[in-house]
Amino acid sequence: MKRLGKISGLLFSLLIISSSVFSEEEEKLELNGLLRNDSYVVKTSEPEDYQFYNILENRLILEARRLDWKYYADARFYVYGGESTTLYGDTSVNLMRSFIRYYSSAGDFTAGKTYVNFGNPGVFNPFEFDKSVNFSDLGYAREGLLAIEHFFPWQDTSGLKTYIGTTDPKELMWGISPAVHLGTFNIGLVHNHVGPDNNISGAFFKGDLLVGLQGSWAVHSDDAYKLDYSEASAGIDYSFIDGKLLVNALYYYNEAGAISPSKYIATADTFLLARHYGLFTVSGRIDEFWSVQLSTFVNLIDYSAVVIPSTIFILTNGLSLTVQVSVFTADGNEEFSRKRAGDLVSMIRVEGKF
Amino acid sequence: MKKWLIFLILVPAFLFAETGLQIIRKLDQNRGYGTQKYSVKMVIQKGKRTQVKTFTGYGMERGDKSYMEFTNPEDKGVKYLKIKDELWIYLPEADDIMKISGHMLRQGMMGSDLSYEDMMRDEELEESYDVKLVGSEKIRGVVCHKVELIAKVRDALYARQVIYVDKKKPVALKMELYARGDRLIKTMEQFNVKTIQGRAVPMKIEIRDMRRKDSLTTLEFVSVAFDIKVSSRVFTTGNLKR
Repeated sequence: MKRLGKISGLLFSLLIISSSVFSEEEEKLELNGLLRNDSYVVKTSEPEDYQFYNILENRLILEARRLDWKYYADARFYVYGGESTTLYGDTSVNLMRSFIRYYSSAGDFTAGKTYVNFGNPGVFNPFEFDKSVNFSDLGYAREGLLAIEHFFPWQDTSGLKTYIGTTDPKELMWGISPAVHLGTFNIGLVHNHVGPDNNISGAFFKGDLLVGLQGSWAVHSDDAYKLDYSEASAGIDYSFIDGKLLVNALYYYNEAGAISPSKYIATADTFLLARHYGLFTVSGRIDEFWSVQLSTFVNLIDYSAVVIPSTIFILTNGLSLTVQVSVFTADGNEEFSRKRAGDLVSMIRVEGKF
Repeated sequence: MKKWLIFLILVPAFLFAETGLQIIRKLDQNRGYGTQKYSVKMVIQKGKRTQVKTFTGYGMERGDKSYMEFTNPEDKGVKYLKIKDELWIYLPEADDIMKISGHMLRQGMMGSDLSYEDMMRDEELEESYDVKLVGSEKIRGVVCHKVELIAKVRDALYARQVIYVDKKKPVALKMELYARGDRLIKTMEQFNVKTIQGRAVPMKIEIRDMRRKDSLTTLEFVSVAFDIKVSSRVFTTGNLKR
């Protein structure tokens, strides 16, 4: 609760400062929010055994913009219910972002708690710091880190991104990534020092060649640049019926991942520790207010899978309802086994934006 | 004598009748711009349900370069950049830029009946289609030329279009848009034509996806300006994070 008080105080003081400082026409000061409730019912592998989890998330977003700079803050406050309280307590608070971005002829400078990312955004990006996957929201934003970031653009779609940051005051992280646009492809190189004896270097691309294509390859090395292991991903996407049906397939390889089921299922409730995965997604729009999606994560060693069909209804402006189930296909000692995760996980999400 | 009189009346009419190509050239000329700035309210309807979205945008080189930013509370800060046939999206929640595959340009923008291409590309009809004047018809009481356009280039937005151009103003009041296989996929009707900087500009457009029942997307231009000074930096991926 102490942290919540600090964040509320920070946002409030920024509101006051911002409203008093701004006077020009191009100024913009906005406060937006989101309220979202996720209710999960898990049917465990035990007969007649059900567990209930509830997460209420309140998001507050403050944005102040002027011609040559902007301030952006995203604070989230969570209230837990059911079994969630045993995992996270009653409440928690998280300041996802709080940064100032300044635009100049020498490039754009960002300072504060900001999301730093290299490569192709999304699940299974080898350059991503935070590789956790939220099965109930694959696009859920990742927390920022304290950093100073600089982006120097050239031409319309190319540029050089550099940063210095930290998650631990004793350890500095830094990275550099030049990216160019060739034909219909974004192509980039990355070198990222994420900690002592932990460097990630590689290349990525994303573009079109009749179908959408993307790929990334990264090697992990120590500070003497002795190679440790490599990671890679490759994906393809295409749409049908004027974009109403989208099909996406992604393969992910992690050389450090385990190939023995006993190793990758050793930690309860932790997934995606194996060497090979596939992610297949089909999404479709039934009409302006109703869309459906089917995502499937497949462990390509034991061929177990979690199949996640979901549907979203837009009830009215800014209010939506999501119904989702996660079905684990295996029932032995595989990764996506009902023994580990339950027979069925169902979720109902109500989300309002204001 | 009577025959001569009829001949004398008909000849000037024949000499001054517009061809389909001339009509389309006037239409292209009226639609063309160096730069464009607009602010739009978009209402998406399905039966009795409605969603309202607002956005502002800039265009350059007939839509070869286009930038849009959503301003309604639910989508605030979502930005799009289109350069030729490529599209980038910025999501403020993630503070990240994503390149969207080219095939997604035909997807309905924000769930509407209007595709990203419809909104952000302003193709030159004369260059993309073979033109044929097929007659005249009244649309909402206004006498219009009925012109048929058949795609002659591979990347034309539609395989065939039938457009109804106001005989007095270079504006299409109605468009019927067909996909390959001559399937009617959309109709667009344009209303409330105003003269802005010497151009005839429809301030309201209704789009119906004919494959969906009771579906209607309405665009209302709150403001629109042409050939204004726009920094070329607007049309860069770096600008999306601003």
